[in-house]
Amino acid sequence: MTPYDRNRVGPARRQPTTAAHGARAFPVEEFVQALTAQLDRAQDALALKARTGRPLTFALKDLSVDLQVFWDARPDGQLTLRHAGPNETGASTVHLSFTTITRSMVEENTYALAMDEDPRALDELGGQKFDDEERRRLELVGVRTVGQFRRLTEGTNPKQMEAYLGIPVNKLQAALERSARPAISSQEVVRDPRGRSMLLIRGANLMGAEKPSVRMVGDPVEVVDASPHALLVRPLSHHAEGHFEVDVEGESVQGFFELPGSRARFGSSDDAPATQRERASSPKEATP
Amino acid sequence: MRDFADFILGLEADLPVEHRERGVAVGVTGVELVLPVETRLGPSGLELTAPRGRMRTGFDVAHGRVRLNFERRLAGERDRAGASE
Repeated sequence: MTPYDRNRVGPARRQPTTAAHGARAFPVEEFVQALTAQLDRAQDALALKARTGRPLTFALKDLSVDLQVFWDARPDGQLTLRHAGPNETGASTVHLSFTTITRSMVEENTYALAMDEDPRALDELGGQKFDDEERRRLELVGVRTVGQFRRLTEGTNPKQMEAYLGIPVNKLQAALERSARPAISSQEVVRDPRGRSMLLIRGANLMGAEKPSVRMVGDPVEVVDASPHALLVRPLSHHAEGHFEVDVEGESVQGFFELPGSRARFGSSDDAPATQRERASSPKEATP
Repeated sequence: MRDFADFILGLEADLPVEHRERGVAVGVTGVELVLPVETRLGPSGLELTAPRGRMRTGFDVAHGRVRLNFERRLAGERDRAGASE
């Protein structure tokens, strides 16, 4: 089940507030999400019931709820709902309609996080940050990540954006410039088919027109695979931990890596120095 | 006050379940319920109950309304539909 006529008013980040008469006010989005979870639970239970052998079952096709509530808007523009208390008059009626949707409809209409080319939050851009009001204006036009911000501003005149969003053009341009710089969000160690450790670096803008160059502890290393948001690099056999540096068309960004179990792998690696191999193999030979 | 999901499941459990093993019969294919309810918003969503009491008091809460549209399906129809989606 999913609501199809709800108002999106930005993320629910605040705790519910308590009005003077005791009833709590909830951000609309938070409430609708909780309501949707309840309906999902009901649907799941009905689906389970259908498997118990009853030849005919009832499924919930659609439903609507009218609620008597009081609306409130916080200073930051967030809308909240509070149910009408006893003997309170003048409540508004909120009409929420829910209908069943198919999986394909969900996939078509759901924003795919995995498809966002730059899922960083706007705050991660650094530099002069957007204030609460500016961020709220961006959220109102559907911008929550750096990737969405770039899509919004791509090919548009910053002056137009200033007029539309009310955010100073210099701030927009500076943010856009920062959003184009390479950034590292995480790194993890993966294994190639031969079992050798590779470093998978995730981030944004990690590739320009050409493959970036990567150095680990000062050594240039092979970039096996590269895309704007991920790099797969092959560490040298003596790399265990330290800094790495990614250079993308003159702009560089640094990170720290640590290869787990690198000492054991180091000793058993074919291309490790002979002394290291001997040191690693000696205990094995001694074991009965 | 009951959790909204439990409220729906309780209503569904009370719907008619008659059926025939073979032959032709007239049966209910859909049920629409429109009910006045007392509601309360909570951190876990919506809680509601049927209006309590027949006498008006000075402490009555404004009633909301729930409309539920149940549709009858053959068992397995949902699974088949789900598999084809």
